[in-house]
Amino acid sequence: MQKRRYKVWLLVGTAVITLMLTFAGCGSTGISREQAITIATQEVVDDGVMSLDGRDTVVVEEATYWHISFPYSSPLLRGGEPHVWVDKTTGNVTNIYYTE
Amino acid sequence: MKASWKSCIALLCVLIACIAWSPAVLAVPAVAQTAIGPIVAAEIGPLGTNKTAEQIANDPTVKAAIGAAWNDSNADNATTRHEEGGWIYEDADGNLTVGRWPAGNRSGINATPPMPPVGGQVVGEFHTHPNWHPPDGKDEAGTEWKQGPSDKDKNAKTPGTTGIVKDRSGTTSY
Ligand SMILES: [Zn+2]
Repeated sequence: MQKRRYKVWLLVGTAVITLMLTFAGCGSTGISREQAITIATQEVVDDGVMSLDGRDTVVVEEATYWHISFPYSSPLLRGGEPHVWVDKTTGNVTNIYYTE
Repeated sequence: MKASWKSCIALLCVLIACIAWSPAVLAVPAVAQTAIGPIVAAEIGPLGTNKTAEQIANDPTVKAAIGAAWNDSNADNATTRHEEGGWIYEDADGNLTVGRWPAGNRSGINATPPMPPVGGQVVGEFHTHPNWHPPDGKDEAGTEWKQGPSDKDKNAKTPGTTGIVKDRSGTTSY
């Protein structure tokens, strides 16, 4: 009786661990924050509208995409920044715009 | 033994319910959206002045300086358009004056250290936005520009002072 109960709980434990791993996989995004920054940086470089020299990187996680912008670092500078949206599942750039 | 199986079934039901939980729900942003709301001129005057943002923006000296800065921006020339701007000072008598910054680049400008008149103070700043085109913000090359002050414009401005941006549609205070 004791042995059987032990086996049942062992089975349940294994199932729990397996399901937790699956569950964690479902919740994670396909494109990581770091990957999104790399994609956005390349997009801005390719677009050629603004240089990324002297800029910070700001990342905001939205429901379906990463919103990455690159504001000036210097406190004396006024001006715009590139904004890039990177799809969290596919890594595609879905929007790029600029402020001034 | 029966109780043991009941526990197992209950546990499995909970786990199935967890799996059924939509990944879309799990993907709700961890960081709140930082949407930029409508820009409303400050109700109160900047530090040390009783002038409102609207009064500063409508001051004849300031309006003339913004107009001159807009002309100097070459907004209609896709190759040479650039930002212009400057500080807005208030002297000891309450008169507003302007000190221009050196010309900026296409989408940025360096605010040189302020040098207010003796006994005066900085109460605001202005600069031009020559890239935004109505109706959708896109310029001749199809690049999309968002209207209004950038995140950096708002963050760099001294709190309590008035910021003004001038574009093709007019001026916006922030
Ligand atoms: Zn600006």
